[in-house]
Amino acid sequence: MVLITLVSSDEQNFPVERELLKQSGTIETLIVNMNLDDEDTDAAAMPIPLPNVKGDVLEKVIQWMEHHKGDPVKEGDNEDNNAEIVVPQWDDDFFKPAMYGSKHLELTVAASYLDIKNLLTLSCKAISNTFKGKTGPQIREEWGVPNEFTPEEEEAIRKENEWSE
Amino acid sequence: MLNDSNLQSNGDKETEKTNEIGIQSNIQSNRHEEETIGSALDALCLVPALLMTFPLLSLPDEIIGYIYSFLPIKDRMRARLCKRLDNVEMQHKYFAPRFNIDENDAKITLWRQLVVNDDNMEMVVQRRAIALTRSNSRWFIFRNKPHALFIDRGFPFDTLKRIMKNGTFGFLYVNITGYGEGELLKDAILCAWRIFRLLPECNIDELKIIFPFSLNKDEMVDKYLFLLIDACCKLKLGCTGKLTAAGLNTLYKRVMDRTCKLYFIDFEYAPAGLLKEFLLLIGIKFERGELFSERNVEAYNFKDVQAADDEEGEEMFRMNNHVFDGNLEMIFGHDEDDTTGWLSMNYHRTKEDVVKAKSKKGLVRIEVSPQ
Repeated sequence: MVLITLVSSDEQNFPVERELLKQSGTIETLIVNMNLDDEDTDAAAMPIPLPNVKGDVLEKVIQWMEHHKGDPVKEGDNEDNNAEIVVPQWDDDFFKPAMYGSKHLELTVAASYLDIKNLLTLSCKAISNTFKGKTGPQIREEWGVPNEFTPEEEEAIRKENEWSE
Repeated sequence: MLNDSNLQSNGDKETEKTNEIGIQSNIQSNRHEEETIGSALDALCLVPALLMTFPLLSLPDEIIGYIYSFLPIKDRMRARLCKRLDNVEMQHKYFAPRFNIDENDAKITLWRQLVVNDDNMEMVVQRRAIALTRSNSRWFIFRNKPHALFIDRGFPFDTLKRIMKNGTFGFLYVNITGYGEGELLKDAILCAWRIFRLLPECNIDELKIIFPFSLNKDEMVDKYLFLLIDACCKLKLGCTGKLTAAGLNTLYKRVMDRTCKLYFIDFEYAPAGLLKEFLLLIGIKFERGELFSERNVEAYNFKDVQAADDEEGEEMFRMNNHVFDGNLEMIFGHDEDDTTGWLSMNYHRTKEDVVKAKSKKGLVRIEVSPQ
């Protein structure tokens, strides 16, 4: 089993099975560019630095990739059917402990940076699920969004949204 | 020394006093600052979540937009929590499987009955209708159908505009039939026309429009049709309005050349004269139910049985002509009086689809002679 070492921004090393990394478009490109798939290359001696991902977040990403090993990799952007996407129970449980916290959002950004489309989709869908059926103030409170509207602007938005309350 | 000491002491006391005042002043100042910060925090509705190292607004716009793309429209509109999120919402598209823009026809039907039965009720109806349509900010009633979006509530036109420009729609249904007279009718037509102007800017799979009674003849012109065929794949219109044979010919060419988005169009009703004139332009003569053409087209008859709608339950049917012209299947016919006709066009995407359409049960091949 070929292992490739990922290095987080806080210099933690994570040896990861080569096969798992196919889920990440960014890492896949780096592997190709660094010729890590060549038999002559000593992949173990060439760690891949990921300066935009912290160790604790990278650990979660790897955990997610391990669970989804062998899943078909999503290609292209198809936002047409977003309403139909359902977050599987395992993923829901995976995101829940980090929900409403920095960790889930950092995980989402990491998924975007590492180009792991399935993780990005499920993570964003899980976040969007927390918005459903809630009022503006409730979402503000849960996700820390300041209210910068003037009273007049807020009243205008409130009137616009009356139909949806 | 004593004096000095006293002085010193006094001085110290003064200093202490000054310091005390200073400290108190600082405390007051700090308290004031805290209060100011506190009230600023209150004003900003800051909550513990904001103190987390990575709040929602730390995400890039693309990711927030992606999160919003999963939300139903109601939740999405409610999630415009600050100017940035308002802007992100406006810039990101989303998909609505079914979207109805519908006058509240159940109530209208009831009102119509009331109008017919009682003149006094007409006043009530008109006042109610004016209340619905007069204000610039609130024009419409929307009805919630199985997968539709709106319950019976007034709805700001600007929000509708925002939704329609951002959305990709599976099925978009517009039913503004118009009702009343005078100012009331003008309002209904203005409502309808404001919506119709938005339609060409939308991205729609299937679009069905029911035109206001008095609007169809005036506004359904060739130019508008050409805008619609670039906006949707399937189009169902209740009429041909003021479309010309030349306009239908252009439509035919653009569908055949695949220079528009449209694959299917159904004009529920078309004057028989317009239908024949259009067919002549594409080299098909349609007279007394017979077809003549020198072109390489295949024709079939199909007896389309309709549900019985008379008291004796007599079977109703109409005879459809199916003409296959390359990948295009045109279905048309006219009534016995040779006045009212119908026309639909379906461009099959593959040769297999054409073969399948030709093998439809009930189709009977007919001769198309040159003259």
